[in-house]
Amino acid sequence: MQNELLTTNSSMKKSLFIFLFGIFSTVSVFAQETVVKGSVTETISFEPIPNVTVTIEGTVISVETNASGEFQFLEQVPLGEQVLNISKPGYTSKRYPIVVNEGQTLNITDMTLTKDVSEVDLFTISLTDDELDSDDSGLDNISGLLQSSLDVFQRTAAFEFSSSFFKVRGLNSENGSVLINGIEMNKLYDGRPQWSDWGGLNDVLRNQELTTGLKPSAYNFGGILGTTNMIVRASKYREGGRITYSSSNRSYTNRVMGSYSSGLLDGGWAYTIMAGRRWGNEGFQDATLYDANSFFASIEKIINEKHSLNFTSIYTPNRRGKSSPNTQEVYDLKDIKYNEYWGWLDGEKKNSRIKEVEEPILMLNHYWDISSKTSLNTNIGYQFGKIGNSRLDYGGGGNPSPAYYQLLPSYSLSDPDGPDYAQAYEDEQNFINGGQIDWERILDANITNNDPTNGEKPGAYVLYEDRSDDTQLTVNSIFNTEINENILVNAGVTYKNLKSENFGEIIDLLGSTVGYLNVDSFDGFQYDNQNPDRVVFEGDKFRYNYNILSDVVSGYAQAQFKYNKVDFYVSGSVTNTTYQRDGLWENEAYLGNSLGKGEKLNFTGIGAKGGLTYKITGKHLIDVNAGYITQAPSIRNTYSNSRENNSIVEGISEEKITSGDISYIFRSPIVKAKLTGFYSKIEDANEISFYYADGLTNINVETGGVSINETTAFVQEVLKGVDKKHFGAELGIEAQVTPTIKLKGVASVGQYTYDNNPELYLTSSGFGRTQTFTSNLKDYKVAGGPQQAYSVGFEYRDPDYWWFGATANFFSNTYVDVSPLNRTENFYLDSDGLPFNNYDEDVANQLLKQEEFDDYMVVNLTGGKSWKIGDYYIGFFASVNNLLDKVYKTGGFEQGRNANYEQLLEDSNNPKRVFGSKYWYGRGTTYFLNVNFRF
Amino acid sequence: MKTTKFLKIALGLIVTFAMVSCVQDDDYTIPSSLGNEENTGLNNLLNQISTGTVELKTITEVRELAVQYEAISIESEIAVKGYVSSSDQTGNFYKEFFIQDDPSNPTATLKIVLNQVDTYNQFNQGREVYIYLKGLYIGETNTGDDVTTIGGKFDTFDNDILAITSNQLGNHVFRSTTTEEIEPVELNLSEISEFHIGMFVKLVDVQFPRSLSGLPYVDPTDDFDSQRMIESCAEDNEFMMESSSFANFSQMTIPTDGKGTISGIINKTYDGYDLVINLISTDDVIMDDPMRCDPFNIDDYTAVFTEDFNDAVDNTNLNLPGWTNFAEEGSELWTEQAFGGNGYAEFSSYLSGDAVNVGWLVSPGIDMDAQEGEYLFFRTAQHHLDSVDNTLEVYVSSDFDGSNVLSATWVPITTNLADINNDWYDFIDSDLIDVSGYTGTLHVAFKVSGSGTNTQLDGAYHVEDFNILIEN
Repeated sequence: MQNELLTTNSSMKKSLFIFLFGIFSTVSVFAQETVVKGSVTETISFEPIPNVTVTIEGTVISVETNASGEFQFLEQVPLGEQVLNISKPGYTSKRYPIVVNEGQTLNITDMTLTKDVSEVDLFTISLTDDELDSDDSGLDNISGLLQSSLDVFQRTAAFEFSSSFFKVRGLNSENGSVLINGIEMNKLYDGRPQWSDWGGLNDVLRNQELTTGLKPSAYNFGGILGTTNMIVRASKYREGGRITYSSSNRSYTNRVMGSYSSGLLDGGWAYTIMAGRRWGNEGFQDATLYDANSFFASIEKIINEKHSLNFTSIYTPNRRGKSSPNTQEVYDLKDIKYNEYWGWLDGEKKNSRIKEVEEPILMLNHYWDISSKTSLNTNIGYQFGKIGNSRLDYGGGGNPSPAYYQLLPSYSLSDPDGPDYAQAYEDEQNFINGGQIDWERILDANITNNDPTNGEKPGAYVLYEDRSDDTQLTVNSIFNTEINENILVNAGVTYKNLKSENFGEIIDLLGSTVGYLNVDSFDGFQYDNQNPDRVVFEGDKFRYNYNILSDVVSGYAQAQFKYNKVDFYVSGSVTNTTYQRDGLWENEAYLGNSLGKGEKLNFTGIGAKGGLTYKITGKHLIDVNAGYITQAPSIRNTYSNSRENNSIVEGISEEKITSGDISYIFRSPIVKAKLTGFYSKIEDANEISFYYADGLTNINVETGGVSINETTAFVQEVLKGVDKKHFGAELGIEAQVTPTIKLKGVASVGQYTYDNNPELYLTSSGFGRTQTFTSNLKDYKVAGGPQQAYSVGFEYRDPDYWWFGATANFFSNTYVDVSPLNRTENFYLDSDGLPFNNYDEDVANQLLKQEEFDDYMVVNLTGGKSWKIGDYYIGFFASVNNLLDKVYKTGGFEQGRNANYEQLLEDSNNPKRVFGSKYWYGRGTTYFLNVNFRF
Repeated sequence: MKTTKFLKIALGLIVTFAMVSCVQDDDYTIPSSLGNEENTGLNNLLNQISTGTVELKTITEVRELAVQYEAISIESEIAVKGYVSSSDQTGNFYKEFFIQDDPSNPTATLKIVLNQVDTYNQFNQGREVYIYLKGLYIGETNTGDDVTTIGGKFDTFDNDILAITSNQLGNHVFRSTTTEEIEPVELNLSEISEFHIGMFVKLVDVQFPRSLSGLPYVDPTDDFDSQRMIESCAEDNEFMMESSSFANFSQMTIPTDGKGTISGIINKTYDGYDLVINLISTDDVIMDDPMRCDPFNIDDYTAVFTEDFNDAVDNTNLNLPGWTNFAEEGSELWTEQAFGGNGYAEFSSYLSGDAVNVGWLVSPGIDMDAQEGEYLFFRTAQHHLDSVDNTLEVYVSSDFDGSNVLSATWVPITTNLADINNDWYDFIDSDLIDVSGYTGTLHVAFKVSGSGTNTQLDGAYHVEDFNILIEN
């Protein structure tokens, strides 16, 4: 802190006070009223800074600056010598001593804040976007929600824990809302924000407002994890520009960005533009290409004092190569960078699985200050475009996966006739030396099939894309009014309309001139029964074709009360959600239930929450929050097999969430600490998964009355009425031990478990629907990131504008995602309904024990420096993650292939498991370098 | 303005980067080098053949290396050439294909087993393939099954030949760029022999039995393979078709509403006991003649006229109402017979005393205008028949006046009749004889010629179940 001098001892205070007042302050005398007000500007530009928190130290009195950087305390400020603390994220806090005299107005103008280089540059890293959006990791990352937080716990969770897929309170990102200018960006499909839709726009997305947990947001009711609103109003940006170049080996290898903001121009106009590109042939994982462009433009017209209109467009087309989860056998033969999705073609690494996101956002925002106390903000958002995930289909060829289980040594070693060591050795050498997709064989197969001599044949392989083309319109109005200085009321209404077009599309015939057959090669079913045996070409739809239509109408209202000793709030919401599937193709396996519109589903959700902060003293606070929410299940968890039919999860109902937390907060000039206990219970949720099951011994199909002996099938697994319980404690503590050294410590200790034994049934085109099983999941751990995480670290900040920091982070209690089917009676009952002859409960318990991954420690370093050259700034930032190159598993799942005791036992007894769990590993040592230039 | 200039530079830079910094595109153009490696392999082999380092053998010569029940390691520098005859496109073959020595007139074949699925998209039907044999094995995949096979390894326990591994494949099996049209060898069922194993053949004039009507190629209760009967029309012969439960046509319905041809590969059952045909595709089942050739099933027809002769009085001259019993030569007439409750008509010259007997049995008149689509059907039997000159003939007439047999115009009918080759007393079905072309009143006559004095000509004929039928 540069102003620590001001507070060193009381004898200096007065002289400094006089000194300061000589420069900055004027004292006016009015009768009776004591007023403390002032303004804050940026050190260099002297631009006013809005949203600066101004507090009187040792009290709970605080106020924020307005758009002009001005503030005035509404409450009575204690008389006499006081210390004014001004702070804002991204700036170095300052402290000003003042003297408050009764009946006088103290107007402190021209207080300044300096941009905090370290904070600013932390923003610059922006958690590698691929982690945020990594659907191939199967893990969900909530860090994007938290990155703007000032709280040491949340910042650590965002920046230090993200590469371990740590989740705050074990909650997925659908429990948090991400808003841009007040418009919610979470997808109706899965409730999660699609981070790629605004990736690479770091410069213009700095202005974020975060409310965490159940705390009331000024924009919406929110989930139980919190709400982040990114403000992209053109008038809210400081005039100036920035050019950034970054280099990294995490996801992209290069990044270039440029942005410029006009500031407020004559005539009330302001604009901000930005363009950026991130690219690379390969990130940490092999062949994970990155190709992303980002464009942003926002223009605002301040019509008059009351009205302002802002138009924003965001366009961030991006393509990324995905990487595969692998069995331990594969990692052992290769390494943790191994990715089975690519192969060499013409001297280039070609990745077969590319995720492409291109969803432009257009929004129009109207801001109306009805009075100085009341405002109405109305927004229209329109988003369209596509998300595509490419993959190979092999209707007329062998499985192209180079890590196909039959190609690995474990398969030969588990030969029923005894281990075939010679073959295993050969397979091992092949995999070590190759182990990638053989594109040439694939092309050759299609070219061979083109030969008309004995009858041309459709392509054996094809590259196609699973497409989801969403068009969504969102309209909302947010009303804010200060009823008096103690009561703030917010209310809002929102309407959303979604048309989601889902289909497969052929993107490359891979050399075939004959085309590709639109028929299920596995069991011969027609995908499009109205056009049987159709041959499809590039650009044609393939495999499935349906729309999901959804309407959401919601409203909320809340009141916040602020008093000297206690702040509290109450909030309520109601939401109506409808979903309807409209099948455009008739799937032959589901005649009568695939073509045309299905049932229109209607869900009503309500939310109620409240909380209070009790200020024991300015140093000690107690904060309590509690809420109860019912909500529609996401589209993903509503339809059991939306690609093929209109079936919905049987007996579907709203999910119910109960959540609460209690915190003790300690604040002193040196130490800030917060200890929180939390509890959340999620009930009546559904989980749908798809996999190839082997060992379905005890399937009794209810429809048709036909006995079947299917033991293997591609199935949809519906787990319904799942309850989960999350509870634990969080601790965040930071201490400014010297003016230059800050110590940080964070701990999160939780237990996230299944809390009931939900029902389970399977559906399949082969056998229809099974009977309903009970899956004995109670007390199994919920997978997804470590349930315990700890961090200790320090920051050194030199007055000469350079700094560095280091943290050591410890993770434990990370669990594999268990297969629910293996926890049903299908596991131990033979087809005659009796337990397997060799069934041994002790052995079964051993087989079904949930795998816990090893504990690990990751050390991260950061550092930076900035220079001022004339009117320009140059900033440099570097970070090294996982300095010690620790190898660790971040997640994994049990394969659904061995669905019964005998098969799992047999596989477990193999020298190497053929169908062992698949895992994701964290990255080894990686770096990130960043240089920026500001003007 | 300085800032504007910076902005322009910045944006310019970004646009430039966007254009020049390309990453993997989504273009899958076929690289010009595709297949080079394989061509090099083939050219090396062809060079070695032309210089004499490697000797190119015929398939027949290679097959001579095989010794049944043994796995023979091929150690000499030899190679063989053939044309792929089979295809696993539909999944009816698994990790194997056959080659034959000529695309249209094959004389020998080999089975190739390899550790690869969907071989059809590499070793497509008709493809010219060279196999460098040194280091491979010749034998049988299930020893004793008579299917001579080239493989890459063998099982030391039972000498079974095992697949060519994917590593061996690239060093031993080479494709040329030639694909020839494979012309099937046309065969009647009786002609099929072990010689044809592995050849692409066309079975002619065949159909599936009516009993398979509505059934799929593979019985869902069979775990692996199903056998389905094929019948010959021209011959009294049957043959088995075997299909895998993994074939994609396994649940398709067998076509039973016609006859035609079935093409496929002749193979052996897994145990090696029986020859079977394996389809490559159901496109090769061409039942293009809607007229089946079934042995007749009376339940499918309604009788316009029927005579089962069950009112017969044993050993009396036949005098059923409407029937004409006439001796053209000699005095012997047709008689009524009953045996074990079954009645029939018989003509026998035995001990007639006449040197020549010619007896006519003429049916009552049938009104051919009262319905359409009439068939004639009856059964005949014989006993003591010694000579083909002791004949039974069948005629029809539409101008028989009911009494004067010899003045009517009799049109001979050729059909299946009991003859000297049949067992005594066995009733033989006639064909289903189409008589729908006749109008007016039709009579059917059975004429037997024999002798009571020549013991070579004194056999007897029976007629039974005389019917004029129309289809249901």
